[in-house]
Amino acid sequence: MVEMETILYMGTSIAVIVLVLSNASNYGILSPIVFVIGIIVLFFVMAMNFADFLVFPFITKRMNVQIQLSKDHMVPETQNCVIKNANGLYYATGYLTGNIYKYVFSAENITPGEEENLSSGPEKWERILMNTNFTFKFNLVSVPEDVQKYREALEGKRGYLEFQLSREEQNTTPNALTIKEIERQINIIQTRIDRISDGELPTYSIMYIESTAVGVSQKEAMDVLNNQLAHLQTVFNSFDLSIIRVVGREVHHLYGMNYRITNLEEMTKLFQVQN
Amino acid sequence: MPNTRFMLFGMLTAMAIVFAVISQAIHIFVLDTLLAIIAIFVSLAAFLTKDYLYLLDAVKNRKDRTLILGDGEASTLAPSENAMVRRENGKIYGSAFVKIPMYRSSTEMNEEEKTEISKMFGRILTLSKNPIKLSAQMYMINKDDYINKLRDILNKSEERYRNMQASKDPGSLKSGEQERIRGEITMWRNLLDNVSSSRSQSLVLYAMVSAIGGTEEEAANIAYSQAEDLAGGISATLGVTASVVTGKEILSFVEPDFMIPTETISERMRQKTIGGS
Repeated sequence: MVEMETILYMGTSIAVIVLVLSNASNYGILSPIVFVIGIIVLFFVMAMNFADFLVFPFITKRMNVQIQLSKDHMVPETQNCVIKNANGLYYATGYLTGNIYKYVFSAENITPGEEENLSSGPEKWERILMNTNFTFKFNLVSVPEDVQKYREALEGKRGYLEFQLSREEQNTTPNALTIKEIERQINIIQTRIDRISDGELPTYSIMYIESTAVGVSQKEAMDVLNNQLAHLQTVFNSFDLSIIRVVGREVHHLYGMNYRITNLEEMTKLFQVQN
Repeated sequence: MPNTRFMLFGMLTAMAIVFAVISQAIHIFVLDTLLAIIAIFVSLAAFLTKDYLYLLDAVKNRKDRTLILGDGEASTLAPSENAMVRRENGKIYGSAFVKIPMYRSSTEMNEEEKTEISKMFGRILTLSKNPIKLSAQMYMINKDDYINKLRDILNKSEERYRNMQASKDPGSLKSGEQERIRGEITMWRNLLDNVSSSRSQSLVLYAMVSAIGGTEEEAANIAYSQAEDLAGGISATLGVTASVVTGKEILSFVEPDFMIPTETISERMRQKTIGGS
């Protein structure tokens, strides 16, 4: 659904630009101008689609534009945090991605060492707490998906993998590694199907780390926040996570999640990168 | 909102196509060029509706270099004080919070228990048919009252000492009263410095659920009832007594100035200034 939407938006925009450019000879001596504009917009569309977290802050920084999310809450031009001004102090809140999906739900993952990861989790977590002396939150948002649709999708995937497996086995020179990998994937899907059969709901989840710093000026609060987030990136490395500072429009939406959680449709659209 | 977005996208795309086609049909090159450029920018606008339509209102309401998405309170405590209420895009959201008291440390658990606790958290997420946010929050303990009490005592002792010096009472000088008060002042000052400079933190685990309602009260009540169900589920799964949070305590989960109490901060900053100078 999301991918189709992206294809629709990007595809139609690119198609129109290509249509215009394909007839560049019509524009006479002005054709280089149209060509240059067309190419720039084309690249811009692609960049906004695949890396809006770079393009959007770049634009707001160049234009020196701040965004006021609500009373006393401001996103500075760098688009990497939310600043709250209260009681004469500035509170800067920033976000890091921290997708521990593989870790938390590793019961599905039948690879050696995962069970060990799961049991070492609480200890690692406590070590992080001991080494951190500032305010932070680890958030895990979970949105239940449609059981029937999810199950059907899993069964479809399993069917496809089984077909691949039988094809590989019937091959004159079957590759043991490929067979093992396909079997592993089938096992994962089967475990998920079994969990759903046991009554668990399939969920779409987003995980992120949030930290707040305080300062007497906006700059001071942002500087302290940068240090805090860098520290969190280091200490959370023990979980072997991919931790990236969130910038751009996702900051606006994560800020909103402090106050309310939205539905599955909006969530998948807003945070498709982490899916 | 998604329908508005799709409609706007459709309209803009149709316009872009029309401009592009017309630019190829008319053979006046200046007009062709103009229409071609318009078509390119309209197609760009159509693309931007995908993720950035929400900023359109902000652009309309801008003040100088500030785009204003909202100028009301981010969220308010419901009158019943059982949930937070937020108005967004014409919808009223109520959000309620469940506190999960977990006091066991991993050092008290064996390997099996550690694995089990990790799995249990996975299970909590599938307890509700509604979206859940599970958060572990490290926050600063509010030492405001304690610091204020210490400061009052210190002020009183200092005042007593000043009065004693001003009166030049020979009796007190003789009995070493002044020395005693000076010692007392030092003691209170050291205690205040110690309490202010050390950071006292606490960890709280909580779950949040949200609901949409026609009115603020309705949204808050739906969220509260969902939170009660969730609290029951969490209690049964984790074997703890999870409870729905009410009153001002809710604010410490959502507002940074309640997460980091102002008084504690200002005292720490004062100490930093004194220490630095």
